Amino acid sequence: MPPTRTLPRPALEDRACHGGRAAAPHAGAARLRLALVGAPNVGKSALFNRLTGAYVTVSNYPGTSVSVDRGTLRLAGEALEVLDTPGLYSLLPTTEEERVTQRILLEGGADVLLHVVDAKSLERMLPLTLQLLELGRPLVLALNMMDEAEALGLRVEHRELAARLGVEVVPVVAVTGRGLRELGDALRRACSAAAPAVPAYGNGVGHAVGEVRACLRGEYPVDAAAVAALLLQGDTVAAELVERCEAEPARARHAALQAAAEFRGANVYRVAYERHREAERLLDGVVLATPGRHSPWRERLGRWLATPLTGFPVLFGILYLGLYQFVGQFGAGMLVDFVETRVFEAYLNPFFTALFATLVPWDWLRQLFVGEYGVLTLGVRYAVAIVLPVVGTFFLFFSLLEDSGYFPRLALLVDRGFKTIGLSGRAVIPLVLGFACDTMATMVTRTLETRRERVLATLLLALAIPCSAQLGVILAILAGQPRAFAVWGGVLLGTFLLVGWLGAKLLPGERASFHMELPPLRVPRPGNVLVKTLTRMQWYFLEVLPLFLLASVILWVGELTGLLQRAIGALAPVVRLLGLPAETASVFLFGFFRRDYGAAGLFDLSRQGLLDAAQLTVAAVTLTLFVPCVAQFLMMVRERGLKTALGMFAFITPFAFGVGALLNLLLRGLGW
Amino acid sequence: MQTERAPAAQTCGFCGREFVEDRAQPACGACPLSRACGRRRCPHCGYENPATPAWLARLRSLVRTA
Repeated sequence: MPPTRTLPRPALEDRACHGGRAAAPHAGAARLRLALVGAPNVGKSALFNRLTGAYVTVSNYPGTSVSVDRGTLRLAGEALEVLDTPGLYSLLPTTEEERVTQRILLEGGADVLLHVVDAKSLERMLPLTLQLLELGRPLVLALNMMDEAEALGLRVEHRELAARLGVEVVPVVAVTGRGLRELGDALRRACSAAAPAVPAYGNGVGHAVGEVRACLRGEYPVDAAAVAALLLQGDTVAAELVERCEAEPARARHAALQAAAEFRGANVYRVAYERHREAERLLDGVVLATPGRHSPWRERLGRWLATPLTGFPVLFGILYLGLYQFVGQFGAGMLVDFVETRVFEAYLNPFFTALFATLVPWDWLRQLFVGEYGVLTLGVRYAVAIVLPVVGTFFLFFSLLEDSGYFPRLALLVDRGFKTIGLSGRAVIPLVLGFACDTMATMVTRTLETRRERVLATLLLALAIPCSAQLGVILAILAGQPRAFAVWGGVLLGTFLLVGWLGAKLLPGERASFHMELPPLRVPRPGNVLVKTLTRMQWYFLEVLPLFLLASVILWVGELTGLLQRAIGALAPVVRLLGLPAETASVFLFGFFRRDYGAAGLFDLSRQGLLDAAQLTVAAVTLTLFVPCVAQFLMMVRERGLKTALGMFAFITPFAFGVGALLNLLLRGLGW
Repeated sequence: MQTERAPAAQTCGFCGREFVEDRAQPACGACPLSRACGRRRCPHCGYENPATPAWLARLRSLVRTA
């Protein structure tokens, strides 16, 4: 066990030297302050939330736009102030966020440190632990994401590492809460324990730091060894601190310059290199890989999913089982059938019709509630009986894929193919989101790299990507007819590729590049999947219900005034061109108001047996390709400008009806 | 400085990186629906993640405690 030093309880109000109080976010309370420190994306904030509970105080660090969260942790009756510091890779900062954390630490803003690391990347993270030890503060090392490390076959001998470092090392999983009790115990002991020894480095670095350290005679908020090491590396914050704390700062500056000169300009590199070597030495024999698990099944599966030869068959399998069977057959078929027939038609609709017959004597007003386009018999029924079961099953399927880490592999899989249509794998994000809601997905296109990619993705979303409810309802309509389903899928895929390819040829602009770090493939957590599904169902339902009710009111007004019949009459020639019965004109009107409302209307017509297989296919294709709903169109105007949005509208409308008309001729010619 | 509800840390469903919910919102600050849309845009990759409603978060913590 390395030697330890007792930590004097810091005088909280008198920590900064000379120039008065350091610019730490702490306001001067007499509580011990615990700082969570760590690289970005190691689960620091998740751990912070676990430790502090429901409420935090957010304040910008003085003079910056970087916010620092503070909360309270109770340990054995004593309250600790907990700071969630911005992520940093090293105490020698390169970004504003890192600089804020460095200032907090160097100016004594923390009494105890909790270094959070990713257990899978200990070798990369331990050099920062060594730097934090140089501060001379009690420290606890939390090995987070231990479950993922174990899944990769890694075992960390944390007790051995603790003995070598002279600090407590606790394996934790912040997202599940594993190891939190042990972490609390370790923190409680650290609060009253001695500060660990400052690490010593070899190959002249330790000597050089010592030389600079010897010239620091002032009183520093942290161990002067940390200041000396940073000064040796030419850090400006350390230099400012020396100016404030030293009576003769020039002597320290000179010592640092002289020590740095011995490294012939490689002072930053040499110090970092020695820390790295020390980290390697400390980790020798501590991280063990389980034999035979170097390439676990998840890694292999992950590779298969992203490789075209295996990835595309898996993708089609997922689409068939997930979309066609689960969403189409089960959700839009069985569930919708149950809710609509057994609940609405058997109980709710007769009940409300009878109720309004006694309550409202005027037929024209009664129609508003329980008529053909009534808010209860049409608006609520569409929203609850048709759309909700469909989006519920779709979101369950979507959340399962999302939680498994499949989407980034899908992005990698389609990246090469997407390049031929002017997109990159990154475009998978808005396109996948489009299957949930095209309006929101249109907004997400702004994250794409080039203008060409943004325009193409917006066009393809408006044209060939059906939203969740539309997709589910169309799948339900076509579920019993595999030929119709194959034609619908083929036309959509063909349109997507053809329009994308033509668009890429016609639109000038540079090709987008795509790089992405793949997260690990995970077994979906049932709790996560359920929460995501319910959350999505809630926002969808709250969004859809008022619009459906409004649509019913508009249709009711249209029927009363005769405007609806006129609009349907105006669409009649187009509908005839498609070989569809006159009733489908209202479906296209509904569709422009809301995509899913139109699909629900088509579902109603198909249930009434008004359409044969060819008509169903043509209607489904045309309605999917047909111009996006009002909300999506407005988002297109907002994101791409009025001119581009109108241009897309002008292209999509005749294109959709043209494809529908051609398909009608083709199918009739084939004897459907 | 203000005291407010702790922003929940969330792992992005697409890129797998962690972000704090309230820091995701500036990414879609221009959107008129951003205050009430119930989705949180990952500041790293732009993917929209569902923001867990308060009632569901409470239910989840109750289940966890039980």
